Amino acid sequence: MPWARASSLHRHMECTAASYLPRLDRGKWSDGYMPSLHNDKRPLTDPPEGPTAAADWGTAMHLAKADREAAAEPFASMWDPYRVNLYPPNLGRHEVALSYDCATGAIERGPSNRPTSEMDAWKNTRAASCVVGTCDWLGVLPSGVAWVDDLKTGWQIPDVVTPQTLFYGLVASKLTRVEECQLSITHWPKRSREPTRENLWYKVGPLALLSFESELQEAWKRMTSRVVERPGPWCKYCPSASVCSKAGM
Amino acid sequence: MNNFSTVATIVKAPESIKLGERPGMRVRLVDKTYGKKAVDRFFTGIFSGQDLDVLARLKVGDQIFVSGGLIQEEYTNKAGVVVKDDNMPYAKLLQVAKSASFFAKKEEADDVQATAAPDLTAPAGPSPLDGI
Repeated sequence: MPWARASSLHRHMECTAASYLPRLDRGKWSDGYMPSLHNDKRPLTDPPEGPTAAADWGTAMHLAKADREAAAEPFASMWDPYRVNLYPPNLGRHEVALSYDCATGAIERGPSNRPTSEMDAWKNTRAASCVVGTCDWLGVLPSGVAWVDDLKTGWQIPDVVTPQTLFYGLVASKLTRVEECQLSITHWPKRSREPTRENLWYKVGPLALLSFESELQEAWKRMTSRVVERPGPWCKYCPSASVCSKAGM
Repeated sequence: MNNFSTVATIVKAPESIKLGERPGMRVRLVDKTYGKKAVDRFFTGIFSGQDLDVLARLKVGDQIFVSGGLIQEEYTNKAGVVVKDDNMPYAKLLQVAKSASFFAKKEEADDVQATAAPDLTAPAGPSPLDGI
């Protein structure tokens, strides 16, 4: 089981306990990525009740973006006029599973645009020293530079350069053997009628990618040496917050 | 009111505010640098003037030397609980202690750049990704 997922990498790079504590995902408890050390410390609380409409909307939009069979209406129809222009099929693939081994620096490309269970099965078989994730769109620009796009559906204008996108960019640049990558965010909030990428394009060069790779490897070393709950803003959406002794402090 | 100087960690991203006609920033900080037994002390600093240029380059988790008068506020919330909070309304940023973004090498910072949308005109044929 890998120690971190790309989507929560910002948290794992700050707080080693996030890899060990049990997680509350979508109303169900599951073990932490690493063997749990804290089950005897605090009992698991009941899952919080609350609307998951925003998350469900995001999931439906991702399925429709990738033109999956499971995509529901009206989401599939909403995407139809934009899909090919935003994601030219000749340039890349939707929903590509990626893995980076922090111990060896090895990268792997997994299945793409397959059912979630199949993608998760591939990711779960990666080594404990790996970070895994599903890149919403992985492509190669006509210039030969790797291109990573992430779909964001929240109302806030998203940051383009985050640990998550840098992770995909790092793996993509290694895959293409071009030492830079192009990052973009496709932003389609619920209130909007169409997606946009305006001002959401960034180019990341070799120095920044190398620096991020070092940070990633250091985070992995910290994780293996000592488990410390480190509270901070990353606790806000942490699935382990309700069993962590320091979350919210 | 007392004068308080400490090394504080930023726990919430600096937020822009207006102080009358002047720009300011509100920053949530915690003083937790004095060992395990010391109680973490949270407070909100209000900054203005030249400090804003530096604060704009800082992120959550960065450490700063800060000084100013510390005022304790107390109020009763809707649940009837008395809430106490510390505020530093005229905070002065003395120095940045620890910050990856502030001390980042210029070359590294220049290595991440906003760009215009690239040409997405795809050549005919399979995706280059299929050959990798």
